[in-house]
Amino acid sequence: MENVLGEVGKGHLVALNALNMGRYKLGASCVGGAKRAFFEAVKYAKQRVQFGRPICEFGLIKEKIANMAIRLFAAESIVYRIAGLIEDRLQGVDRGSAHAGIATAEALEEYLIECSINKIYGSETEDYLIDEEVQIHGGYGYIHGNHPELAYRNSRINRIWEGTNEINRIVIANTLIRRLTASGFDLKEGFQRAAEQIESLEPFGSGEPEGLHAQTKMLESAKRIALFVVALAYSTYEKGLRKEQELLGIISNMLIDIYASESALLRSLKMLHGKNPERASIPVKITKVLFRGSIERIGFLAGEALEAIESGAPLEGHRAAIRRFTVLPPINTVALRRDIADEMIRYGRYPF
Amino acid sequence: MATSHTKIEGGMFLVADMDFHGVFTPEDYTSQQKDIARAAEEFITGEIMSRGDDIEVLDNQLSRDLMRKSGELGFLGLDIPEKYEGAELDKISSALVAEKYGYGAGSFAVTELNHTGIGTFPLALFGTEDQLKRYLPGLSSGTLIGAFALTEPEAGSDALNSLTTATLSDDGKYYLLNGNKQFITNAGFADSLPPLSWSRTGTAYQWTKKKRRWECTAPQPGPTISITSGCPWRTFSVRWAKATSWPSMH
Repeated sequence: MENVLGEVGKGHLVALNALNMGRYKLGASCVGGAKRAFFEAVKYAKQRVQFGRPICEFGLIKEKIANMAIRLFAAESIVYRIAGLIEDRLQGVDRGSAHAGIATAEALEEYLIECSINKIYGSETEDYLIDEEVQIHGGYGYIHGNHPELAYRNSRINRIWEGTNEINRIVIANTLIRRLTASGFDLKEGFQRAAEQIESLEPFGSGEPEGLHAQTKMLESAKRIALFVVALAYSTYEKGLRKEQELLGIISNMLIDIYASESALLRSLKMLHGKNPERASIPVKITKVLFRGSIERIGFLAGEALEAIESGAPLEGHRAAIRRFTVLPPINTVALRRDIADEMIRYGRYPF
Repeated sequence: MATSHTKIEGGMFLVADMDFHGVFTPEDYTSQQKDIARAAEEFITGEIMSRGDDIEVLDNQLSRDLMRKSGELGFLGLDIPEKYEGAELDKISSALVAEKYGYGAGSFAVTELNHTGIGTFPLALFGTEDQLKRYLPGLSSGTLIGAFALTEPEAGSDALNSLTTATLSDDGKYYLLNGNKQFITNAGFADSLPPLSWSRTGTAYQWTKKKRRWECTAPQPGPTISITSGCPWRTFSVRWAKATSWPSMH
């Protein structure tokens, strides 16, 4: 009797909350694994000579190194942003008090969506980096006893346990819809409003302004597009949306991209406005390349969702609106990635 | 944007503009957080990474030793209050330490993460004062190993399909557990793990200190229920964590 945890008959609350807690830590652990993969990959690329020079001097290897650094920067920004949110919630709670445990559980429950994003983005980042670590090592990456081979197998479980990444995607979308409706946000009415907002959004314009103003505007547009898709899906299917798992997956993938991009953007802006703005140089470049991919992906995902839900004139109108402001200002990602990679190769590890 | 919130609510990032001033970033680590991260890194480099492949074979004794050392240095008790012999630190420090284990501890990171995460949290957050006193000091020092027994053969993602039952004994003193758990990380040597069962009567577990294993004994002349560890699963990769299943208990 004295070993019963929580209330009798309510064990599932303990169990499911525990998984949420696991997700916040798992993301951090995955970032660690990804940093190691990055270190090993860059080290090897600097010492492996082919065609008479180290392979880190080749464009396609630099591109890999840059993409790994970009993904890692976003994942790390997510992990500590969420840790900060949970910590903020616990300010003023006496950690030794009888109430502290429940307060921690409540803080984690509050950030259920963020913790699921953390788990998915962290584990998929780790697997992406390790896969590229194997690739950069070539045949040696496939040989037992070398780090990539071990890391490749060890990391794979992280996309499965503590809620598979598929289950977590369902959790993200369902929780978001529940929260929005519970907070008094009328999703059916919101659809109309979101549609009008979409129409009134202005294209980003051309040129490549200094700083991250364009990215800040892109993020705002991306959020409106995602909200529009959520509102459209909900007003079409209402409670039946729970059965439309592919749509829930699309919504979650948009949210994950938005959260990752925003976390990287806010961190870069904080550095840019901090004591040493020169330290923001590479993070700003990372954020620009990250946004290039994520905004286009969000536009693509929104299009897929619309085409699954609507047809005829409404579909054409909404598609055109979304297309209008996912056309991005020109940006030379090839040059930006080279700059990022050169800096990483110079450091020899993840430097932030 | 349309909606603004004075405090940051979960999930509301979608409908609110976020200000960079209020966001915690790795550039904001305090010197104490950096010191803890450095201490974890030094320990892991010196005591774990240096062992190379020894970390990647099933070796319960080495696992126990490294858990004890991790506990002695305080890394297992970051989320545990001081009054239960934990370090009572902030969530940024515990994320940093999780990251360091993820970086360098190979398969052992799984044992550590499982212990400090889902192996400790259910107890730390939902335990009674008496339960906290009994188990948290051991989990903090690494003398007890934590695990979390949720998955069953027919309850993977569908976790609420758990079939394990906990039935109150006739004298009301024990819960009799009956069911089958599998893929339970750390179960091969864990001391403190709640096999979760809620289909009938709620969550329950029973740990027999003397025998250092989980055991539920019903009063005589009723049936004796013994929970014993099955063979470790040969996993896709992670060799350290010793996931095991418990065969059906009757």
